[in-house]
Amino acid sequence: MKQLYIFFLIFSLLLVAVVLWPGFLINPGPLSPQHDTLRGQCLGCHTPFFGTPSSKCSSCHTPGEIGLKGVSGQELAEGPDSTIALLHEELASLSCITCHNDHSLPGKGPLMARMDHGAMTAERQNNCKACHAPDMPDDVLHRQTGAGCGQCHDTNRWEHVTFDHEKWLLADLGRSGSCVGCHITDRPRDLLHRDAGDACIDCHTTTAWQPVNFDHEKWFRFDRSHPARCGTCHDNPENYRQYSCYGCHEHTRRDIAREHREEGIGEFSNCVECHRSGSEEEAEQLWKKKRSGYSSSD
Amino acid sequence: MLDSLLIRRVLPLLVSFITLVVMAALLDFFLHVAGLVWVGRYLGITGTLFLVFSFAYSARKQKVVRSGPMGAFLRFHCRSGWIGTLMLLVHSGIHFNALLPWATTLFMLIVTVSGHIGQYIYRKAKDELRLKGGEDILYWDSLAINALGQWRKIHMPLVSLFLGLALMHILSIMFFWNWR
Repeated sequence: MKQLYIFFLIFSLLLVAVVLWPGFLINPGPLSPQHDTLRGQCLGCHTPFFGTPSSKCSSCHTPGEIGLKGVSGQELAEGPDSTIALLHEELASLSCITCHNDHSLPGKGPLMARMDHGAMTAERQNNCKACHAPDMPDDVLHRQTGAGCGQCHDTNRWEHVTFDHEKWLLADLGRSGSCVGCHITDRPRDLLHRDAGDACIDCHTTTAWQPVNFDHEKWFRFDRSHPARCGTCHDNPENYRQYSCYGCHEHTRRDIAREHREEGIGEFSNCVECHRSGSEEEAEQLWKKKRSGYSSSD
Repeated sequence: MLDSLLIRRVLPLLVSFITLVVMAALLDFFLHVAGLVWVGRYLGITGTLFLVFSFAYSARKQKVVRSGPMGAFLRFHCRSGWIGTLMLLVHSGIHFNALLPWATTLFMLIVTVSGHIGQYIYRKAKDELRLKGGEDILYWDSLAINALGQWRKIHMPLVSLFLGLALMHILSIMFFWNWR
């Protein structure tokens, strides 16, 4: 029984504290600056046990005037916004809190503000441009896509894109493999990419720009002693045809020259001609093959 | 050293508490990664129900429930309390919104620590009774009851404080929440 008294005493003290300092104890986050005048007046928007009915919002925001006029019927400083007006006209039957929540997490924006596109009519959902025309990027790709934004974008996240090249640009790709028609600005300017011409598809795929299918093993295989870091060998990023094996401490020009001359190898300027990996054995075989080639041609 | 009574009694409790905190952090991380943060909101309700169930032990002790083995009720109290606390920790997330819910979370953890200490005292008393009891069983029994009584003097006010905070948090949510 004593425990019960202690509990009720604590609860009563907390109740008094919550009534006296609601903003400190139970406010989930500060209100937006526009609603700052309502600070501390919780019941201005909330109805006890019934949440935030739209009638509380519409007592200030006249539904037919949202986007056109201010809360007191005054002209908006930034002028009327037909998109906002159109949107709210269509969503009039919805509860305001479906999309709006005024409490914010410090530094993170509204707690649960979200735009439920599913609440709009099917016709409006298929006409993204009615609201998003100003957001549409002005590039070659987007100029070709017309109004079918939903083919790549979804309504939850604009950045969550599933772009299907085959579906959209099959005609273009089939014509000349001309990826650069759209990707001209993305194309790296080094010699490797300049030499590749329009044959992007040889290395890249249409589902993701990276990783690429570039077959480096035609020239050199990576192994434990040769980790795949381009800059280690290709010290000129403008020209990936150039490389140098002398960047590593094992290889000095003098030692390499001495070792090759000892073996009777006079021409060793193009290392990967014989050294296709870290394997000495493989290099020796390739050298023998090369030498016999020279002999037979002589 | 691992055979010492202290390690045998303390280690499982320490593991239990650390697992609780780590699991809560992992579950919270998973919900964020999977875009299921909203689940955390409803874990508040299920977690509270588990804590309410755990009070079946108190009901048995106060003889509101008149039958059933006390040991089984105690085990249920510990397990249900552990699961409920895990759910409520995930529910609380890592978002600093208002002081009352955070104070509730803090006191829930303090009560959990206190509960683990209670388990330690109980196990220690049981071991001593078994090892040293013999003809002095009444003496060791009285020592155990005394130790648990001393612990309860701290644990129960903490529980009351936590319950007060939790009830106030629940009421404030019901008062302001947009039930949809």
